[in-house]
Amino acid sequence: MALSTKSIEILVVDDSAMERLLVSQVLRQDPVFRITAVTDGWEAMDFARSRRPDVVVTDLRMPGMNGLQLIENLQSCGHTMPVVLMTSYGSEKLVVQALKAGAASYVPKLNLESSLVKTINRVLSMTAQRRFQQPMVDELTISEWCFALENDPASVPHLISHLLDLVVQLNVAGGARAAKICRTLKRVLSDATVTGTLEIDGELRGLLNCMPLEPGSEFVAVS
Amino acid sequence: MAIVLESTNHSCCNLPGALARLGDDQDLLCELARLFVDTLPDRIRDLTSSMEAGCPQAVSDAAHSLKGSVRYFLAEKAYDMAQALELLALSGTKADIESSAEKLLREVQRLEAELVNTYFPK
Repeated sequence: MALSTKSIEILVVDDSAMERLLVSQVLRQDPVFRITAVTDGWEAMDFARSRRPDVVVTDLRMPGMNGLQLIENLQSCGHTMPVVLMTSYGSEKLVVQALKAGAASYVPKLNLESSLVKTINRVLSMTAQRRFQQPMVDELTISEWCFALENDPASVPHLISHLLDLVVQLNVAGGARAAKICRTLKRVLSDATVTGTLEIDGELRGLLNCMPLEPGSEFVAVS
Repeated sequence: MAIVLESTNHSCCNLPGALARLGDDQDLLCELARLFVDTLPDRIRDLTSSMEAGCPQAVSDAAHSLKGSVRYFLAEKAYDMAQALELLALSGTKADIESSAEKLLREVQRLEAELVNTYFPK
């Protein structure tokens, strides 16, 4: 289901002519999609600069600039449109890296025909939701999170997952930095469940201090 | 022109199944077959030149590319062979890689012949 009757511009990036043909054809299932297909990351960057597509759908493994590098380049140029990856067997490590770098979602190539349109619509829906929430997030002045947890190592991953959602949703940090904060927090909290003491070490303090806080804001950790 | 697709014991692909996956879009499958036949020489050249250059990553990339191109036709044997070479290229011996590449090339050429015979008979 498309979000509105306004057309949605989708940029498809793949070095294979067969894949470009198939993906374009699959996307035509939804008449709201307007599709442009290009052959590499450089063309994609040019298109993103001039046309600002609503979504980028890219192959992960391409010569020259791969999908991960494309995501990083789009972000470094200030483009915030969601990027959906098309992945194949053997690219798992790269997929994880790309998701950490900020890819919105991924679709295995073997399921393109059945899953791509649904995934794009889900990603668009989430993006629109975030866009509506953003004005409220911008006005947020205080956000305090308090968790009273049992000393149970199994609870740490759930807390971290929840914190990652909050960090991204509140735009405290995005992509790689959010993932790094959560990885470090996980280590610190896991240590705390063993030693009984929560120590905010230099690495975590450095990450938290790099976050774009208003003057007077502070992070308070209570153990 | 309506094309009747049959999958026999001698087939190296499953065109009726591929057609069903594409929502019975005969034109799309035919166009994919045309692109496969047109681009196969380049893909084979990529693979053989990577082998000659002794570049494992390039061999793996070329096998990956072939794997992607055969999947539309549900050519399972070629797909599995390409996937095997994609991995073997990064860790196997030269002899194993060459043997694997030879088998793959034979299989994709069988597929090419079957697609030409089905869609572009002389």
